[in-house]
Amino acid sequence: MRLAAVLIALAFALPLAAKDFTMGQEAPDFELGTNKWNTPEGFKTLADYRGKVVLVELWATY
Amino acid sequence: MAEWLQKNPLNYGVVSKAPGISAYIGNGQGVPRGWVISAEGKIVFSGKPADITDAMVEEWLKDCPAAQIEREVCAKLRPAVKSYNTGKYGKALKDAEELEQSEDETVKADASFIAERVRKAIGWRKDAAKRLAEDKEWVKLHTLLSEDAVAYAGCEYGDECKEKAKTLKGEDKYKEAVAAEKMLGKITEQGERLKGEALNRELDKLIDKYPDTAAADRAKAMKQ
Repeated sequence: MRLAAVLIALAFALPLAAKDFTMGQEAPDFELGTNKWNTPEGFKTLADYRGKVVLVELWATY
Repeated sequence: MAEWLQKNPLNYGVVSKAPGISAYIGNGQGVPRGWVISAEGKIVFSGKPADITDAMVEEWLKDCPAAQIEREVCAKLRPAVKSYNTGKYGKALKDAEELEQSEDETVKADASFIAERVRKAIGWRKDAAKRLAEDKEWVKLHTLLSEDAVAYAGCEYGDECKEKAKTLKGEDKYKEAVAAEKMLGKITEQGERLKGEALNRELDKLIDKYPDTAAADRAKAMKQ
């Protein structure tokens, strides 16, 4: 399959201010935690997606 | 959320309150906000997701090992590309590595392009295997090794996976992990019927019987 991207949306209950990063820097790892849905079986951290292109998107509910 | 997803299926993962995500939250811009992380784990985009264009996506995916090789290569490398695109990575690597020694610069460049993709993918698979071993996920590790023994047959890594899968299957820790996963599967199958204390009792039985397994760790997280 041509498309190898995986999208992760992060739901929070409060408004957020997102950090900027320098292009090309190593992406900080984070755990997917226990509140996760639709993530591949056995995936526990962002690093488990290594080898795929990942879009991490932050969104919030107000 | 689970209920909502049943009515509104999504083809991407959703996580909430992910530990360590604070690294992405700071004093910059607010939401909506997104980052694209390359196959190598580097940040290649930071901004509003709506600003991502098709051309950017094409660029990010072009060297991604998970993608098919679509670029034109010289005739000698076409069998290697065919192997790669049909998931026979070991054969693709073997063919490409032989042609990496060619004196013809075009052949050499195409061979290196294919070989490098497979070598990168092997590196990531090894990292994934290492993480599974650290987490004592022996069943998943065995699945990964068995899959790679087939996909990478014909190269050193494929042979290594075949041997490791065979050894792991004979070990007590693997047998125990299989039994623990089976027990957890049965508990999970009971789904809605098991709740609260009844569910906790079943999970405790698993934790006591197989304390040093990944299934026990999952059981601990499932306790209500």
